[in-house]
Amino acid sequence: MHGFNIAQLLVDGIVAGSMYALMASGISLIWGTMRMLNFAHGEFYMIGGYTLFFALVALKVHPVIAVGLGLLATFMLGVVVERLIMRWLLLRAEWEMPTLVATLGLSVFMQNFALRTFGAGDLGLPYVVPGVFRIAGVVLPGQRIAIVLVAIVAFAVVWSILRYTKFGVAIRATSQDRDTAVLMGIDFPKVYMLTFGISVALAALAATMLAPIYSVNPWMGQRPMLKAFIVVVFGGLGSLEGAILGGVVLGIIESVGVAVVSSEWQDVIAFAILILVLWVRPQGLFGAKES
Amino acid sequence: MKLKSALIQIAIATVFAALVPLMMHGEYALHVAVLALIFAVLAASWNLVSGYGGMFTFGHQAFFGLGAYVSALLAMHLGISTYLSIMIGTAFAMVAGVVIGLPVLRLRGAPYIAIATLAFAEIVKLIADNLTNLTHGESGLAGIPPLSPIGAMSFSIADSRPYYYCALILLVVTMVLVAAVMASPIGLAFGAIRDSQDAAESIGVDVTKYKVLLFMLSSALAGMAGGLFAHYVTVLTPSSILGIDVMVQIIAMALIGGLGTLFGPVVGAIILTVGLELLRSLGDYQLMLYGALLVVVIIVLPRGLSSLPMLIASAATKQSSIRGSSWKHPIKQREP
Amino acid sequence: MENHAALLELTGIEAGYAGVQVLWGVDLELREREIVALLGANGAGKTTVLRTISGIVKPWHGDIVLQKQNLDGLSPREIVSRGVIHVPEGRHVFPRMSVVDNLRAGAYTERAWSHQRETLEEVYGLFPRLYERRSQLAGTLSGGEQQMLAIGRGLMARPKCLMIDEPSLGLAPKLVDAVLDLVIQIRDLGCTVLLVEQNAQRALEVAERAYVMEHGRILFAGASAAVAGDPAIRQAYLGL
Repeated sequence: MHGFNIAQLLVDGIVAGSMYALMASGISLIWGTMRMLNFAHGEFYMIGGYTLFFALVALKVHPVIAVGLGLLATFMLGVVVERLIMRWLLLRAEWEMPTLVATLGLSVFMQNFALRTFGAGDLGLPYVVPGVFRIAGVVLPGQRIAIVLVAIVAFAVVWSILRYTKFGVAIRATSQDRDTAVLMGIDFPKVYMLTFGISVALAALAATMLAPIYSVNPWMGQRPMLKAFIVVVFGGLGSLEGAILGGVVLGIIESVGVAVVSSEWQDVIAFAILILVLWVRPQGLFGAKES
Repeated sequence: MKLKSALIQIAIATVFAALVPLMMHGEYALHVAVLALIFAVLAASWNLVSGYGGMFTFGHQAFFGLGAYVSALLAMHLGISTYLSIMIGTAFAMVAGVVIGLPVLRLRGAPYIAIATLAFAEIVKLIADNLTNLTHGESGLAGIPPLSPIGAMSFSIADSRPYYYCALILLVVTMVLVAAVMASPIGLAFGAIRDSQDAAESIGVDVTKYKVLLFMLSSALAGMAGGLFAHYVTVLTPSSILGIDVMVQIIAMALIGGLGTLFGPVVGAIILTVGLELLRSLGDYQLMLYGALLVVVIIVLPRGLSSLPMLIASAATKQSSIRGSSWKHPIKQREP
Repeated sequence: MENHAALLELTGIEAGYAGVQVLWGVDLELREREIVALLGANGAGKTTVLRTISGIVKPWHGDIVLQKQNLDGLSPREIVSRGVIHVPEGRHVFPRMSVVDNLRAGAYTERAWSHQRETLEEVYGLFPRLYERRSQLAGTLSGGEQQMLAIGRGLMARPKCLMIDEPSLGLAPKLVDAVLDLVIQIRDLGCTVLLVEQNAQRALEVAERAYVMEHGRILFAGASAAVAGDPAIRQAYLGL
């Protein structure tokens, strides 16, 4: 035991938080653009995990390629799901409840599909990034350093896409005023499809980073998704910056919390904070009130 | 629906339902029927908040579980009558309903309501998981006493028949309550709220008070169903009654039958419970089917089976259909 | 004016929403490089005409022809890329995007996107104010500035025909002058302008021709002077 090594706790919190942030930013992106909550986000995370596993173990490809395959497979699945299922619901006048139900159904379907196809067992993976570093008493496995770096790169990429590319302009315009975006010639169904794909690919990225630390199983996406829900409420749905900030804050709260509260009560506290936050600030802790 | 005609319909349905055990052979079939009735209470009580009240919650299983655990633990440890323990469990669920209802009512927007109620249910489940010296966690709380005897009638795990009638009484009470509430001024107010919350507020409907009332009633009914369930199956695990799977079932039942209708959730509960039993041989495919069913129903039949007659009628006459009103032009409305 | 070729022609347009008919046989013609006013009371169907032209509302009957090409069945995106742009009523700028990003959103079609830089120069030339505020969030602009931005955003698509819905709505008289002055400048750049206005008096001052609508039908079409000079029309339909 290293007792109360604050630096270690902070570092651990940032590592965990960066993954929460990745999950949450995907949920936030879909919400911001399409005004729907994706209850199957965790299952896309799971698809990323399984794809990584099979790419590494069955195809024996290089880890970087395996991660790429995980992202690609999940992205494509997301695009197909949006086109075949969500599209019908999003075009309705009343779409909030139907999309919740559909993604919930999808979540149950995908979980049990995985259970049936791959079995209930935990599939372990070796660390993709080897080695352990020690800096000033803080223990840092290479995998965990990679996690933070990958998250930073991913955020930089997503932010640049939103900020500078034509597609990013389309996403932002659609999310702020869809009907007017149509008048600009923006093809919002295409924007929806790609946004959904990118969003779930972010979940897959988190999964490929975390799968070696935890393991791959049909339910692996449940916890991360619930955590991501907490984060988006902290950060305000639809805000990328909020998702990042909220993720890191939750990560640190949790890691410091372990030192104070026993681990099985951690999630209870996290969810209780969530309800409290919603009570006090229904628009999220850092989120601005939506116009 | 007028209250009188609703009550007549409930009475007729009750008579038929009361005859079911006489026609059934085999303990197992009756067992499935009891489960169907208990789930019908759950679906009908959730429908009160979500279908009529327009607040789409994802944590109804928490009230079911609270009622079940509280009643089971009281009966086991204090040795009180199971009816008293169920009442206390119901009260617990009702209080919990108010406690979670108040913050949820402040939220506008389906996603936040969904997340908050889901988080609440997770808290309840985690507590049941963690208090192992009380609940034995996932290894299960066993040895829950069956319902206390009433006069000459005694209850045991071996005979589902008395439980069937208990569950039927609970369901009838639930439906009469739902019908009565919806026929009252409260029900009329909710019609206005569903159409437009702002409009309802502007005509002076005390939205919050009514919503809390619905929440209370709905969670109390779910808690009572939980109590009955606990003393019927006599074994509880957090994942079997507090898991999100339970919520998925409730939603599927209410949706398939028809959200916001009196009989829809009950019909949905019976169809799905019996249907799932028939599909039991499919094992894991069962839940896969459940998920797929939810997706298909929400796309193809968003208003459930109850809208089927109207859909067929309108398809036959080619007049403006149910769809015409729900599939408005994509570009027009919808504010961020 | 007569030597100008026809640009956009509507014949016998019937359209509506969710089974409710709004337009009952609208005929309308726009020629190149002219300003046409579409007038009428609230609810006359003016905005529906624009929405039908821009492909958001599909006509039930009738034809819309742009330079001899029928626009039947084209998506809003395809109609925008053919150079017919709709500036919506109430500005509808993207509030949490900067002014320049709003303008870039206007240049979304392939052709416009590749000419983005030149068009941006032109638009800044017309609206120096937008250049000053280019990095400000559009939601923080004043009403007049937002109207300029909405029109500028429309111009970014390099339109042949710009349809502007109620540009003077909610603006101070001075700003109305400025906006209508810009409409003339835009026409002079070679773009046809269809101006939908409730402020008939001012619209008739800048338009060459005018159409007057009521209950989804065109009641009168002719030179602005003729409309302005007809006391019956002035009184009955324009409230002048």
